[in-house]
Amino acid sequence: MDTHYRSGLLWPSPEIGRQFTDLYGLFWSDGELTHQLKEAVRVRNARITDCGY
Amino acid sequence: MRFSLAREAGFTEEEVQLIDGSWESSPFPPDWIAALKFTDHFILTPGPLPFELRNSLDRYFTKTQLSELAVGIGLFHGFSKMLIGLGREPEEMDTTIVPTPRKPDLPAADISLGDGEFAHLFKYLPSIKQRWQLLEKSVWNMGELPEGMLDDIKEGLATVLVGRQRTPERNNIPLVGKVDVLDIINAFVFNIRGITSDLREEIIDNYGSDGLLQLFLVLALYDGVFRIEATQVLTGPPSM
Repeated sequence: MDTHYRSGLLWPSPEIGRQFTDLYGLFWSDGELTHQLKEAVRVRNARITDCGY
Repeated sequence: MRFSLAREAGFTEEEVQLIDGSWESSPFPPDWIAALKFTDHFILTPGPLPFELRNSLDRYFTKTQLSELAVGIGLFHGFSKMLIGLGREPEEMDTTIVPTPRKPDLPAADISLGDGEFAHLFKYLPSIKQRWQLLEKSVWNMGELPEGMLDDIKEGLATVLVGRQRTPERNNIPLVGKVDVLDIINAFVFNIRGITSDLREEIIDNYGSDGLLQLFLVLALYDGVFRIEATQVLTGPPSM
């Protein structure tokens, strides 16, 4: 288990960490929705889910 | 935490305050209000969209945009719950601006993964679909949890979120130590704070820390896609 983060997601292997990062990075860097709207729904999720991020 | 490109494009802390509170009566544009209503529905009451909300989403967003919205909320929600479930939240965090996640450095591996069970949800997002399927395949192949348990978890999520009937041979829900897997699924879907440190220890005692990660990765991935399916936002009947 990769434990070098003080907090944040853990990944069982570098490959799976990279695959998630690539998926998430593609969502944020591509597509038709504006960054503001993506950020608005991300923040709304964090509030409802009570996630510290 | 805020992402830098949204901030540079004008997303402000005043807007964050509105999102925390009374955004329904805020000066946000109608497409934002529809997207925020969809977010609340997706998280709080996953199920077919009310006609009014469905109509307003169809009015303001194309199918590709709706797909992006749904997949994005699915990722945010599933993986924020994974973070909480693993007990990996920061104790305190000031409002920090961090770089927006970047486009992948390399093209996705050119592996044929077939249409897959969720092709209809990624119909308008082929690049995202390939990345999602590559991650799914790697998680599935980790080999930390017993054979059959991954199917049970996936099917349990489908039952809870989209009302899918359980296949008869899977009616015996497996245990993790003394804990019923269905209880873990229900906690992940409806009450993530119900995942306690004692439960994490029980899972680690039985399957190791990588087993714990495999379990949460499976829950995070399928919680997202089954919630999309539950809303019928991409598959449901035309609005009336």
